Amino acid sequence: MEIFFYAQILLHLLGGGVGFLFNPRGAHASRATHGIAVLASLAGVVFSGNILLTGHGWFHEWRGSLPVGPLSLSADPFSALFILIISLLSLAASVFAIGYVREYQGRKNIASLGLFYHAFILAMLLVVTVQNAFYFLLFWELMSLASYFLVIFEHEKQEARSAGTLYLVMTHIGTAFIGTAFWLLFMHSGSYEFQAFRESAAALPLGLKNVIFFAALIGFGTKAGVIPLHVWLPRAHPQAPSHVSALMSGVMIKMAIYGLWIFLFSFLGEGPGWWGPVVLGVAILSTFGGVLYALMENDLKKLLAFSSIENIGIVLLGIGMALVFSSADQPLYKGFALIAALYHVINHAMFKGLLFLGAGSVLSTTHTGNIENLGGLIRTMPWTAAGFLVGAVAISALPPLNGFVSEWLIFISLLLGFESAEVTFHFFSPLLAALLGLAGALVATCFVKAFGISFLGQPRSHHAAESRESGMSMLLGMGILAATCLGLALGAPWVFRILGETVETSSGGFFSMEVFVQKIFFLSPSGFEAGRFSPLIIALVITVLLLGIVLLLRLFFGKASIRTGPSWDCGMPGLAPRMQYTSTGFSQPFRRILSFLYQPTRRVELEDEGMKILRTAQRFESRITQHVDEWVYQPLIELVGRLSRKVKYIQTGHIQLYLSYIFVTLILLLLFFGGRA
Amino acid sequence: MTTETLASLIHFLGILLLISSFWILTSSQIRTSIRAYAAHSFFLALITGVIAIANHIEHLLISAILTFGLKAIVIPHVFFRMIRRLGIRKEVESYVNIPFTLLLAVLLVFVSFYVTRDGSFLKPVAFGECIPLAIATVFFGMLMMTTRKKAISQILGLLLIENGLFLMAVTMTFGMPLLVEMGIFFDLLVAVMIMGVFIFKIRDAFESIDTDEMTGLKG
Repeated sequence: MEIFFYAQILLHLLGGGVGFLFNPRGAHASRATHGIAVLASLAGVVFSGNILLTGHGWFHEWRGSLPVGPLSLSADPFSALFILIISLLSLAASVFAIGYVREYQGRKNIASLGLFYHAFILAMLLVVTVQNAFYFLLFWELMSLASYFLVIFEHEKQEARSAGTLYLVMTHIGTAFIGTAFWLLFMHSGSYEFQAFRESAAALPLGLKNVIFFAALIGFGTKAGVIPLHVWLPRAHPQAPSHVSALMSGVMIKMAIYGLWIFLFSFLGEGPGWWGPVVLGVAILSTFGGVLYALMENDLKKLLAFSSIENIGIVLLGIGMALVFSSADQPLYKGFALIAALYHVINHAMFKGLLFLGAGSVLSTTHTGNIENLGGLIRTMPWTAAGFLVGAVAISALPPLNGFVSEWLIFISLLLGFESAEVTFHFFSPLLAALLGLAGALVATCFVKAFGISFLGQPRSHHAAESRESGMSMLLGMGILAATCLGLALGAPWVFRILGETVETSSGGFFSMEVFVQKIFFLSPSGFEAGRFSPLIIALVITVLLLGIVLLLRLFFGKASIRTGPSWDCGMPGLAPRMQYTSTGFSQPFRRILSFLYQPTRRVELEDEGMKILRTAQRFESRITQHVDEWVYQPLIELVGRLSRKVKYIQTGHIQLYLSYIFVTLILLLLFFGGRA
Repeated sequence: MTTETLASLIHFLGILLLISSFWILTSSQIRTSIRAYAAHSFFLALITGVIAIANHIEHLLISAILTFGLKAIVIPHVFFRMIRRLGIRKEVESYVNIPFTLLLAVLLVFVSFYVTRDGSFLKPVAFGECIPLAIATVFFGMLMMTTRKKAISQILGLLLIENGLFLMAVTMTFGMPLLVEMGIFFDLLVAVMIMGVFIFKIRDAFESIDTDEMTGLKG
């Protein structure tokens, strides 16, 4: 089956260049490059799906002349799972792009967009399959750079350029830490190959282990966008074209989870007991912080980006619990927590992809992402609204969709902390579960706002009023993901089994699946009955209930007739769209209640020319404090600025002086090395 | 000729080479500097030729002829045309006066002999004395680039460095394969042409070829 993988790689290489054969700004370039991307993704789905179903991995290595060891690619079930996520999402994004990119035709270079798009997907595929630290870093960097160029695709916008620069800086800081982690492993094992890292894991000294742990956590945490390393994420992700945002938020940040995973569960071996709590701390901070900022955001894509931070936090909660169970020597629970985390990785990729595509669909017709200017879109673009609603329900962790399944599993793993051998966790784990519950409720609020204000009510601007339903390809792209979301929910026990095998191969554990799943029921591994549930039955119950209600209503009231009449206007005629609930207004209660966190500042400016009654202008401004930005990054930036000004003294601008720096260095080096005869 | 005569011939030519390097550095007029550079290249070509004959290496002989043709005739010619078109008459402008330059140059010759006094890290294939001379030539080129104000002198300094590297290559390894050597010659010629164009552009932009004017470009 590896022929499909080769086909995928070759198609991505081909697709990157093919746009340049046509007019790079034309429709043909777009169709060719995205058409090939669709084919490549299909090949990837077949390849990875086959590995996941049969459990037979694939491995191949090319011996090159470089002194870093062979370029070895492998696709065990764990890698295959990530290939599947990448391929599924890129399939939907590429289909979507055929319609979405039409907006750029004649105006922007679509061929170069295709080049970076393909390079980005290819780099991610190689990152999850490569088995050599050197090549891992190479492909990691390729992924970062390709996505940088995608972020600045609309480089005529100042916002995109500055977001791109910030992203570039942050991603390189991250890469520096990842590089350090790999380098330390290399110094210890004497090889760049992952196999050597695994074999020497047991012999790692504890101090070195801890250093590598932190380097990997910071490095991959930067890419994943955990708080407080998240600053670039909500700025950079929304700037890219929407189908790319979907890929960045859906899968690129998952590459960081992949990296962290292989470090924690195969390179570092058993760690000290406090690793779990550290990861849990970062996780709950991200979960909570992400959703708090998302709730206050009025830009649709930025809101989605903040919510990605929250979801990465949820995934890390699972991983953190796995570490706790690992050090408490409870492999069964560890496996359960890992499966939960992995399940959420897939689910988030799918529903976040769907939401970003939905936002893209809105953006392409209204040209504004500001929720305050939208409204009433459900009438003009019903299919987009349906797709967005599916994504919103899924992300709010409501049954019967997939977000509910994985968050439930995460809940169970948090509550399993009761059974942990670590007594402190009997106290902490319910606390974490309660916080996760609170975060879940806030997410639901946030998406009620995003969906309600954007799609319901009356259009708040002419942009929204003149919106039209998007084309077939965009709807199809969203449809693929919506169907996947539903499939992941209804087929949950089946997905769970596959994930179980994946986790076994990747974290070296072994556990009987019968403890977790029986037919269509999930079981709690600790055996308490409350943990037993079946998404399929829940879905059925919900469907039956809804149908029942409709039938009952019909029975009692007969066939309802639709009457159209004026809204009740409290006796004050002249209802206008501006009188509707606004996005800011909707989130106001939270700004009040959580003001100790948000520290909001508000300013009201009224202008009147002498007469208090006739106001000529009024302005209202409300801001919340971005704590990390203001407390960590601003002082840091000032410090760097001050140091740079100090260094500036040796930069006089005289060519001769620069030359003499070289000259003097050369002479000193010669004297030092040549003089030591 | 015996090896001993050849060695002393190379020795003699080496001294002439060093003297011509001093001449480049100390002449107060740009025209004289260019002539001195031509002389320097001439002696370089001679040394290369002698080494080629002594060791029976044909391709080195071609290098010697090319060195002579390009560096002793064509490039100086290009330079003369350049200064004619720029209308430069003035003497060389330097941050450091000529006696002090001389002093520095002598010091650099000492340094180059000091760092190469032990042949362990440099393994010459022919006539070891040329190694310190080559390094000294590189040093002189750098000294020239760092102390002179006019862009044209800096190009001359760069060419001097190239001469030093060439001498180093010849004495260490009997030169590179001919194909590479030809490529380098061609590069050099193109580099001189391009730098000439740059000089004209610099003059157009700053109304001077004084590189001091370019400090305004820094951030």
